[in-house]
Amino acid sequence: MKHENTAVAITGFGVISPIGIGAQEFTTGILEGRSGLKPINGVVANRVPFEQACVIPEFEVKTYLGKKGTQSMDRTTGLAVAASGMALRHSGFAITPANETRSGVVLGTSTGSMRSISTFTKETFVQHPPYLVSATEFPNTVMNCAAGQCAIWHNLKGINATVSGGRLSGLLALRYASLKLRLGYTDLLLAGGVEEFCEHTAWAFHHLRQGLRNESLPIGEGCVMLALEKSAAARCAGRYVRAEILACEIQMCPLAQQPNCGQLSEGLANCIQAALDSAGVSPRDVWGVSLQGCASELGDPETRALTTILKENTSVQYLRISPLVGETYSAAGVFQIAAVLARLSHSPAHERVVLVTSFSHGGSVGCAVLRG
Amino acid sequence: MMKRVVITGIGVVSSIGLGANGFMNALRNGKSGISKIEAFDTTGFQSDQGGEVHDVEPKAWIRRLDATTIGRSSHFSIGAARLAIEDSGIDPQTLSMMRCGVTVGTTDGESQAIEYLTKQWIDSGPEYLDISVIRQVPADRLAVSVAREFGLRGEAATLATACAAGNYAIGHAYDMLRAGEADFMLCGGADSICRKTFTGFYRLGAIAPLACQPFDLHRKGILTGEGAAILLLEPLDTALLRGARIYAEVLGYGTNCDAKHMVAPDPDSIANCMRLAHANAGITPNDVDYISAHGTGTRTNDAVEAAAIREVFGNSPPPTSSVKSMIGHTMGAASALASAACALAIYHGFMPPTINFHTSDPDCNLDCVANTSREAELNIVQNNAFAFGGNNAIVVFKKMVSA
Repeated sequence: MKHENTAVAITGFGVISPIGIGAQEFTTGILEGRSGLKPINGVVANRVPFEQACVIPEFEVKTYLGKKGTQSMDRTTGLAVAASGMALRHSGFAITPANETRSGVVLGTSTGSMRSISTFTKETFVQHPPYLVSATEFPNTVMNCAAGQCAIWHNLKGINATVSGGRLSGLLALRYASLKLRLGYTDLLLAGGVEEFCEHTAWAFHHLRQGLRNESLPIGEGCVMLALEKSAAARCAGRYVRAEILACEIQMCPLAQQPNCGQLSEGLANCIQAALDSAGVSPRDVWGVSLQGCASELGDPETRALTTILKENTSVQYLRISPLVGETYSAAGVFQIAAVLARLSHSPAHERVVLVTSFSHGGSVGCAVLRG
Repeated sequence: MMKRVVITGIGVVSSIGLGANGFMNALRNGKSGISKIEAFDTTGFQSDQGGEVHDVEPKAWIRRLDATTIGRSSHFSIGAARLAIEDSGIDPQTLSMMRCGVTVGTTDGESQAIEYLTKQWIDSGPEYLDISVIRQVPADRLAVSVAREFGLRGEAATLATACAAGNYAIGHAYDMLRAGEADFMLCGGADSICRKTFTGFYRLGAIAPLACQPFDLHRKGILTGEGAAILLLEPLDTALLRGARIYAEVLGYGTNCDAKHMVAPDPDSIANCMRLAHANAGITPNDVDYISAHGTGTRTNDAVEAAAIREVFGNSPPPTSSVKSMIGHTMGAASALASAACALAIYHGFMPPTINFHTSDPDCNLDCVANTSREAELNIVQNNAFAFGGNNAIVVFKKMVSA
């Protein structure tokens, strides 16, 4: 296999999800097939266009992280800071003055906190004079706020990146982080994705769904952070390698003006094949696939692509996390990975290869190959 | 064995000029791109100046995609990418057949789309939001739109690391190429004039009334700006093979995080970032001929940056100037535009000036190439960028000496 001596390992994960907070509760939720769908009552103050969503009412920033330093912290940042702490504890990696400059964060978010940005923007229109906005809220309106706060809270002074990729955000964060680890810039990266539930994304989601024929997923929220290290270093330090990242491939598929299912599935199939080639894995050796599972007006390019690539493999296990946690957009990819980790930890064995597939209607496609 | 990576195309959309040559001439002449902000209503503010890009027509750049579905920042990133591809002399067909990726840095993404929707919400309620504008909001559109416009197949990623994002994007593209994960990379940054960001900085007392005066004793803050710069990067071996013009080599970069405060810059952390960039580029401070400063024109940034420079370079640091004096602070595009300036400065042999400079500040005390550009043979230059969130990124460029 390629990258054998520079392989990247997942040594822990932190998860805040509609089906449970923390790796253990999340795993139980998956095994029970628990639905995260629940009434929205009380989660947001204002009117939203539906009554139920996959929300996490039990996660409140101030009760979870304490009052100190959270006075003006928004939900996106709170989710990321809390999940980062969980990932560190889960991995057993202790941040010290000796390693803090080689420890960092790579966070996937497509917009930052829509509530913070929209609320602040609204204030510039309704205040007189218009600059009577809240100075302390201003930093929340910049997309890298959550990653910056993760660094402050957990003393991570190395790489600190924010990647935006829509539904590809999770795999982009994984690929970005893996490359930096392999190139030796850093020893530990918390990589993940975050999506908050708020009035603004709820209404946007509602409008976008109007045009879709068979979109059935409710909107969801949550955050997953993965603790990533080089496998050799993690093993040397006695930390448990939950899975290894054998490959993470992200491509664009050339689309016509109006994308169609055929083009997307062909592009995704090419990407899956490239990831398998890069990992040195045959389609026969694939044990499972963790699906994005967002069918749409375009049909189901994911199933089509996988059928093409895995046609001779009839024993593949399919993991479906999105029916449980909903459409979590920027966090979708890392929720798929968390589902893999949960499934693998439930029945430990070796050398199971799992694919994580991802696509967007803009033409971005991705595939990660994990082994655990 | 890691590949060496070079810049073979420069595309610029800025308030002082379009394209590599337009931008270079403006830098050489110390042109100012500051004018009255037209993109949003500045009623109620004491300042109304900014670095807006005027007279750009989407149709000139956007051919494959439907221009009416493209936000202003994506429009800039596509325009700069088209200019970079044309400048490189490469056949666009070649790019679409090879593994060509895109990384675009940004602070606010399609901020004008968010402003538009916010206004709609206030005026009519959330039931009446415009779907075609909602689709523009996710920041990944900045990179994905470039990939779609040119039919590219590599990874398209938007890096939202605020005002250091351009350098992050160039650094990531450099890594993709040297690790052999891509054949070509279009990389840089884009942002639009943004009511939210203008107001936020105004509230912090950080917006200058008329002019951006980096390192001046009487500097009064930033002026917000907009635009994009995209560079075409490729491995040295393929550039030589196709006989490409090589502006400069990307020698390496360093990035770190203050992990201390969301807004206030930290001189020790910035100095560490410079040392990291030098170590990764395999150089010492003595090798650096010119520094393209973050140089925002705020009291704090310029004093902290100068202190960090002196901590690393000692008491006689190289000339250090700020292109923000000419174009304002273009946020996520800023360090991409400054990187384009560095590459042009190396290739054409000059140092861009810091304009609007009148009185030296003892707290800065740098040779900031005051007011007029300077002819100079530059071998190695460094481009500084710092951001909210304590995100620092510094890229080092080197002149290519023909074999």
